[in-house]
Amino acid sequence: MRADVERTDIHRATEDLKNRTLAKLPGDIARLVYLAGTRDYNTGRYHHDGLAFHFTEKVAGLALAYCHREVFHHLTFSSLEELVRQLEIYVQSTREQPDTVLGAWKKLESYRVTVPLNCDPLAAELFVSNITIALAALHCGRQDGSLD
Amino acid sequence: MNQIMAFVIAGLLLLAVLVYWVQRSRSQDVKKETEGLEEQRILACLQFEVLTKAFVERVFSEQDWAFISGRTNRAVRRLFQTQRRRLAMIWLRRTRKQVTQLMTFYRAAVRQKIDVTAAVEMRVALDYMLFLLTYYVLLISVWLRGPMQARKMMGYAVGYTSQLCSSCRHLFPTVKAVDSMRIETVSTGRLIARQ
Repeated sequence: MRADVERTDIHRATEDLKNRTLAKLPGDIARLVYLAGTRDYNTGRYHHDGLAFHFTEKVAGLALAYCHREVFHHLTFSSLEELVRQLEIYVQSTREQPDTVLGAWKKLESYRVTVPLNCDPLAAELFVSNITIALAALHCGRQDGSLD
Repeated sequence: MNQIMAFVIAGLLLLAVLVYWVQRSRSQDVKKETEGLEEQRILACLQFEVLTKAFVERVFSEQDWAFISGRTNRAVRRLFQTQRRRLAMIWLRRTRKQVTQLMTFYRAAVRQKIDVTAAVEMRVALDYMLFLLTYYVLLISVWLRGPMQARKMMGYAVGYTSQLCSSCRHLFPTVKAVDSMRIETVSTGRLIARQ
């Protein structure tokens, strides 16, 4: 009974997060970055004040973790063409110089911290590999205009 | 007095031997239980590997290659080939390792069970041989020519691994087949599957 109640709460918290917050973000990479940002780097626990206020800290954490994995999974198994498109949307949404963002992502490899904590190592490898290729493809496309 | 001491010592020795036998049989039960769980974990993990067609399809994706080769320069194409080759090799080695572990447990389980028919054993042996053959051909092919040229062979590898799992499944009836898209995480010793 208690487990059922908790499952329902998690489902409601997930829907709430998706409808109120994630739907307003421009693209899956923005959502991934946002969700990874709600995670404490020291403990791996997710935290969201608004969500924790309406549900519980635990339910909010589980909902955030679920959404994080879902977005990560979707991006990891997207085609390269789709990934490049998502990356373009994200870069434009930052309102910074695209070359600055792309350069920083390439040097810092910031995308590595967006990987969920307990995901399969192979999926993590695939994601990092695809982002690396997508960044190179996007940079190449910007240089010769082929991806416009 | 000496006789009494001798009897006492003999009794103590007998008691020590009995305690040792009890401890040993308990640890063997625990070991069998642990091995049973480990077998199921390996089989479940292998099912996860086999079932992650999404991963294999992505790594060997013709669509991705068509996009990269048509829209980028030589450096990016080379990067793509290098990355995909690396991923393919990692996947192959990991699958091989898990299949080997599965076969080790299979052989141990067969020794203990008496209801395994010769036909089943031969089937498992054949599937394993076919898997090994495909694995080595694939490894060489991917290393020499890259993953794009080995796409068809990869299908065979996945097929034989799947057959092997099915053949071994009868030894582990409590392991359910799980949809790959619903398996969320694999960490050491724990597999979380959402229904």
